Amino acid sequence: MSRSFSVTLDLHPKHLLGFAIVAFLGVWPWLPFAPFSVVGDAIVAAEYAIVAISLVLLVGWVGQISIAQAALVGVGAYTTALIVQHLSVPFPANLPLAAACSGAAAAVLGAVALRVRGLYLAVATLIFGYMADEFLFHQTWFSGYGGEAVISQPLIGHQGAFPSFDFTDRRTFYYVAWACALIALYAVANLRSGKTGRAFFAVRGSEVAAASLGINVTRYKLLAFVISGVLTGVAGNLIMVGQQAASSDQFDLSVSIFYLSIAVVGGLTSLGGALVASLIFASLNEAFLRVHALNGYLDVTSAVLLAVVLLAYPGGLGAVPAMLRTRQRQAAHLLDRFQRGLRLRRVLRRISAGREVELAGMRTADAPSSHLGEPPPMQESASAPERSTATGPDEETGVLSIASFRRNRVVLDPDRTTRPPLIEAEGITVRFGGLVANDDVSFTVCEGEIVGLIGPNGAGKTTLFNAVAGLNQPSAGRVRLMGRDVTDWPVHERARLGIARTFQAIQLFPQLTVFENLMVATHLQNSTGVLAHIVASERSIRADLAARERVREVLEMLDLQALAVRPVRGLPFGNLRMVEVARAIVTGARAIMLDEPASGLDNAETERLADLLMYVRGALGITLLVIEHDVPFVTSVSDYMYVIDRGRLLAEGPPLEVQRNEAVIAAYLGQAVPSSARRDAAAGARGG
Amino acid sequence: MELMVLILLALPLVAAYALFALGITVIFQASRVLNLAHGGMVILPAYLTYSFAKAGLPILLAVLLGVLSGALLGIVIERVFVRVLRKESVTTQTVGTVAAFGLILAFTSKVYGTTPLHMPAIFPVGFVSVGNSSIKYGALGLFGVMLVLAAALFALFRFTAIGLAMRGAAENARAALLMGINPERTTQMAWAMGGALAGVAGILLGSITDLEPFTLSLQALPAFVAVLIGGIESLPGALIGSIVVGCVIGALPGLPYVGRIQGASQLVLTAAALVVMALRGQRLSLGDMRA
Repeated sequence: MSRSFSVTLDLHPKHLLGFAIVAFLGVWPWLPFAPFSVVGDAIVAAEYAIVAISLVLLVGWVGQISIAQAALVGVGAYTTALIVQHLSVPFPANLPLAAACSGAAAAVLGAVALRVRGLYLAVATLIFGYMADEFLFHQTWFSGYGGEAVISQPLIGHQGAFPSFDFTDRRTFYYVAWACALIALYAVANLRSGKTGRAFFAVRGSEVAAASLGINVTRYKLLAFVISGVLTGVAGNLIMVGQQAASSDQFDLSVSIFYLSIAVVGGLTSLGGALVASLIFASLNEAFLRVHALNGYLDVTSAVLLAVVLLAYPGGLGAVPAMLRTRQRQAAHLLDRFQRGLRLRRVLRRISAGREVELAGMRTADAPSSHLGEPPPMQESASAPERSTATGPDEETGVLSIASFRRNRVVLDPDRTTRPPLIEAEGITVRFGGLVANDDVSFTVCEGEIVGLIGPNGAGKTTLFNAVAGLNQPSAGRVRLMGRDVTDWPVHERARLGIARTFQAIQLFPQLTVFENLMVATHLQNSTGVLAHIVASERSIRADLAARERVREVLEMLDLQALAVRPVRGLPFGNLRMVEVARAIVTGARAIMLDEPASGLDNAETERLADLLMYVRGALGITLLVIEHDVPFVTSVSDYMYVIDRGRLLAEGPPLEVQRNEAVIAAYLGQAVPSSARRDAAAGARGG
Repeated sequence: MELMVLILLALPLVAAYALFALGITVIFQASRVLNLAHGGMVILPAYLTYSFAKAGLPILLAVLLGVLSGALLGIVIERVFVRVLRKESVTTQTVGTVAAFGLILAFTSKVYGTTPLHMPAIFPVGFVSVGNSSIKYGALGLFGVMLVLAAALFALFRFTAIGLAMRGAAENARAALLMGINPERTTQMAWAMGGALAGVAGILLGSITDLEPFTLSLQALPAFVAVLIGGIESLPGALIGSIVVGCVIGALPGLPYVGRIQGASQLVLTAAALVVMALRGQRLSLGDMRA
């Protein structure tokens, strides 16, 4: 009791205002001056909002485009009519059925179109919309004569009795429609903050990286399209029930573009923006209907809004709060600078009195907003060097513990057969057209080892690596991971076995922060399903907390906490490499494959990387396969080495032995090899 | 002969779809964007040609200006919607082309209205009798123009320095840049070509049917299926796809029984698109890596 009392006491005036707004929205349709048509507009806004949310999910989060949202809404509307006419199922019961029908249409369309890589869903939906418009919505059995379907909505309960629902009454339907819109908003927002939402964003950021973390890319795209289809079905059902009639021109191509305009104006990735944009477009709709001079200009206006927002304000309405916050922060910063000037004088006086501690305290107080998830924009240039000096000492202390693994490095039994093989490539041959990039190459990585695979540029290293990772299909040979033949497995299935990888061309998810990037890597450890994410079940929240804990641990271990809230876009290259390694560690993989991890790093960074790899193997017991052309780097870290040249295995053995091998020396220094043959190999073998 | 009738029905559609599909392919190769504004590039030149002719210009000059406006429209769409949004993502670029389409469609419907307009004939009015059937001069002319333009396009890509530069830049923009080719210029050229081809087809199609913004812009849709069938990377593929799609859509209404169902050809088209996509499904590969 006392607790709830204290909560009420904590109420900020701002919250009171919020409650007042909600209360007003709850009762205004019953106020005597509430215009009847505005209640209708509010219902339309709810319907817009549901479709806009479906587009935010699909286009904004997953990056797929649908131009058939209106047609899918139509499917929901007409199936509602069919269900009412033929099965006599009244309103609240026919809603899930209509939603399921639109969802099923989306599932069929998506199951096929999403198999093709690229944005073919856009084309498939365009064609589906065309078909629906010309065929489906003109079939008498489906949509009535001339696409004009009419239903009657029975009263539930007895006229005037207390629990009685008359859905033909706009005020009743106002609550119904907005309840549906808010439930949709709640469900999709839950989805966003959980495992499914992370997978969506990962798919949009880099499909290859998402798959390498065990995310089934096609499945998640399909999931997004089906959910968006279900939402359009809900909207269609509400339209049919609310109007008790529908005509086919409510569901044609231009309406689909209209819906897309709402989502774009809302900012495409923002649910709140979509909601506000729906209200705006519903008001526009009314205004353009009422004001005679504006009649018929709605399509033009919405098209102009779509174009202008997309080009000039890609963040749409969703970016407005962040913009306001930035303004606020800029003002606060100016004020802060002014105050600091005053304070500095005071501090200087104290320093002269021998109290230097104050300075350090002031430093940390400098960036108060960094935990908000965005770097303070005004300070960008000023704070960057400051940050690096701040993390400098931390890094050094971290290196100390990591570097200790170099000094007392793990000594392995020279007999490799005592260890179980984790990664085995057997007689791999990869051809690109007539070119043989890999010719009958075999290698093995055993548990606990760091294995180096080296070769000059163009030797076919990356091609071989990708054959093991599943990104290209060898024309001969087998790949075994953890003892299982995975030659025909897709990338995400291989990840399930406990293999992670990094990329030569960094494949982080640019829209996400470092922390979120690592959160994606907990995908396979999280066994909760989509439904659990939609309702934010206790189990899914618990799984999320565990994932956060794990990410925090890894960040701490690699001394990357300072970067956690930074967006990946704009981080220095050396940091990106570390984050990619961290992401691979978070997956909990038993083996990590690194594709040219030292490329693009300077000497100091390369050394730090070498220390890190020793640490990862020594302290975490993770097996490593390192592909590189930097010979000193690989020989310094690996227990066993393979050398390939011109697509073939040239030598293998412990590093010291390989370094003395004459064939290897010849390959690297170019002796005894006719220059023309080398040039051919270098020009060709790089195909991947 | 029954078959002859069906072929004659399909001929103008094959020609129009081929011109659209070639444009979509050329544009995709240059920008890696599926140009969903292609329907807009069909209607605007057609309507402008109508206006020019209405204003008293000789029909051939009107057509020429119309085609030029198509090329210009292609350049403008590339400049304003595709190039600017390149820093965002391919998804945003594609939404950009939808925005362009929405703008053109909305403005054309507003300015010219949605009642069908009748364009003056470009080819002589009349028929050629083939057996017991006949074909309009206009339809035959459209087919002839398509053959000439397709041949010219192939020759351009095969034998000229410009074509070689465009192919090179499409394959590897950076390498092309190092060779002294301006990839932005070649991309612009591709969009201009796509716009001009769409314009030609839109004008000629509009002159044998009627001008109506929705119907005419939707004529570009079957071309996407044609491109899908042919594989988006290949010009000959686009031609073959257009023949398939044109025959289906052109001939279907002429068939007994099925022909009487409204929208039957759209249904078949959707089914064809789905089948093609199901067959073309592919695994994740290196091409999906972000550079």
